[in-house]
Amino acid sequence: MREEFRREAATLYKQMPYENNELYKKYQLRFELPDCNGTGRSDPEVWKRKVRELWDKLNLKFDVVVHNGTDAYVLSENSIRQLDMNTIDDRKLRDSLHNSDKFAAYTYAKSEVAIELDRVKDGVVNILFLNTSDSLPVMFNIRARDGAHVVVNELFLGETERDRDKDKNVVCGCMHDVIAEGGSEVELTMLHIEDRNIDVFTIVNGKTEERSVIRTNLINLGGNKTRHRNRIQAVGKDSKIFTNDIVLGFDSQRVDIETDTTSMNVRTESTSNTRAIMLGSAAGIIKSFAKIEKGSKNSVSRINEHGIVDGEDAYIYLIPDMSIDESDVIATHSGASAPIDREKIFYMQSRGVDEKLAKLLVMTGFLSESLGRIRSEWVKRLSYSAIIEKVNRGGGFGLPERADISDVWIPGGEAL
Amino acid sequence: MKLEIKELYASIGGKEILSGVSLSVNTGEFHVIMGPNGSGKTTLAKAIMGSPGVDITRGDILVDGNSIKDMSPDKRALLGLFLQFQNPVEIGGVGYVSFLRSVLEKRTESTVSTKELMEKIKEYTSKLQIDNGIVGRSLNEGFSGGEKKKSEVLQMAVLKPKIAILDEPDSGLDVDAVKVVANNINEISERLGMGLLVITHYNRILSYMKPQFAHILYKGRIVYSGAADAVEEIEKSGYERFTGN
Repeated sequence: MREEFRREAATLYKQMPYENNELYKKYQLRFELPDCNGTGRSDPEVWKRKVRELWDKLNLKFDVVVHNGTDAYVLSENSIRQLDMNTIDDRKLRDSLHNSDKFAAYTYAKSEVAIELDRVKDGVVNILFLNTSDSLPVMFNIRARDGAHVVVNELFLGETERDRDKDKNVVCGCMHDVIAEGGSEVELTMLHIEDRNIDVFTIVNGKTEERSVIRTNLINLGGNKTRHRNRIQAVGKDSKIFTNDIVLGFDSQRVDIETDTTSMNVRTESTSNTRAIMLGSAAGIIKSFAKIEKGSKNSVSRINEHGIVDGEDAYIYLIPDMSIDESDVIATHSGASAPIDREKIFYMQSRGVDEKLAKLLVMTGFLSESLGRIRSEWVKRLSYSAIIEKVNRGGGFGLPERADISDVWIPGGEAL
Repeated sequence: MKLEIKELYASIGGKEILSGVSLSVNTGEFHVIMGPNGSGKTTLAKAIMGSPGVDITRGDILVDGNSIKDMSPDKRALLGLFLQFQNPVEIGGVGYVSFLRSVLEKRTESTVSTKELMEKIKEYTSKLQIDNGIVGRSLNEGFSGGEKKKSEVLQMAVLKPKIAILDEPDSGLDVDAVKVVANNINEISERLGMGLLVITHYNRILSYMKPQFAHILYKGRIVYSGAADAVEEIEKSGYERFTGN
């Protein structure tokens, strides 16, 4: 990427509006990204210690570790490589820069690390994004071909060096460009367990070619403010998109998630599911928009958004929306948010569990129905464990103390 | 254990449903409460268990002489009360077995062996003729009407209460299922020496059960308390003699 392109992206970032909706202003959902310069160069000892700790705790190996967005460490030969930023042809990115997202422009302006996964065989890739100081956003290109079934699991941990960063929030950002082609499938899971002074943004720009599938799972359990965007197009016939967003907001967290799917060919399928719980004084906007273009006959689009609010100052806005330009399709959308159902609590209490445990069971059950859709067992179990701990304690950041929950029943998983 | 309901007045959403109900049940006793629709039977059951939707305006509920009126439902359950719900709520994402294990661990304050619990559940899914697949599902979710009723009886068997209030354990069941449910309730209550307070519309289930006492609830008041012979009379002539209508 040329400096000229980066400067254009930086200017565009400043010019592009966040969102015009007044709710964003009212509930302080807007946030500006700091002018990071990548001064927090990676200290290998930090990420090595963290990797060892996770290995002990989760018995989990990472294929790549990205530290502070300034350094990427490829630890295994798994069809993944780091790209040389100087060789990236910015002419191919021009459309994306001008038609994508404000924070995509920031990524183009700032990123120093780009990684690429290009697979023609089935496989699982685990990536750790570790941000400790003045970090930069990362570009991540994922491509699955020739019928490959590729699972990418990302664990985002942000643990700031408090003395150094006490006056400003650290950014944890990642922009994905995902292409599934030739009857292949990509399942991309992003698990966020950042510290409280991390601002998080993730973007997934995706395209499914003929008979191909993209699945995304977002599990947002940490961070100060979170902004996530899914923009995925079902370009080829018989292609499919599934998005699955799971959110647990507490304290004064702010969560802004938008999923846009577009059906552009015949017999496509797009399903967007969101489950969100807002506790304390957390606030969130969950928008899902499905577009079915003219000519996309026999396509199916579904949006389901469900929320629980349990806190006097907690808010959640669920905004399901559709635009349908083809008549021969199936399209449904629903959104419902409510306090915890008292009947459920009473039923559980009548068996002998106290109100606190009953609430915990209802909330974890509500989210675990969506967790059950995730195929990677370690992601499910770590997420579930973190959810239990955070609901139980009414908050808390970072990794859960107890990650070994192999005896817990999760819908869709094994009954143990 | 002795459960006493003394001159109980209760309302839902400001509307009085119970207007001075008095009743007493001991462990080992079998009581049946009958009454036409809307007479307050389910409200009485929920009031005993402490439903937050039922406001007790006067009177008291006692267990072994101590008031439980202000006690939370879980504490009432830990005393030994059990309510079988007429229509149990579905709770997605909460596993049937893991829920029962959580409950037992709370009750015993010790770790419960999943294997032993599974064996107990398997014993009763067999006795109650329920598909064993419910153990891999969320609590009450997607259960048929019959499975819900039987699952409640299964929970009663596992939790071993001292007095169980069964709110229409027969409604929605076919003839064969009524017999299966009734026989299991008999077996569990006799083995544990439980007290039973069965609420029902019809005496169909009572063909297989032998209550000692019958009570008829009408417009929020007990209008008959006495021998269980009344059940047969209701079957022949309806509630007319007891309600005056």
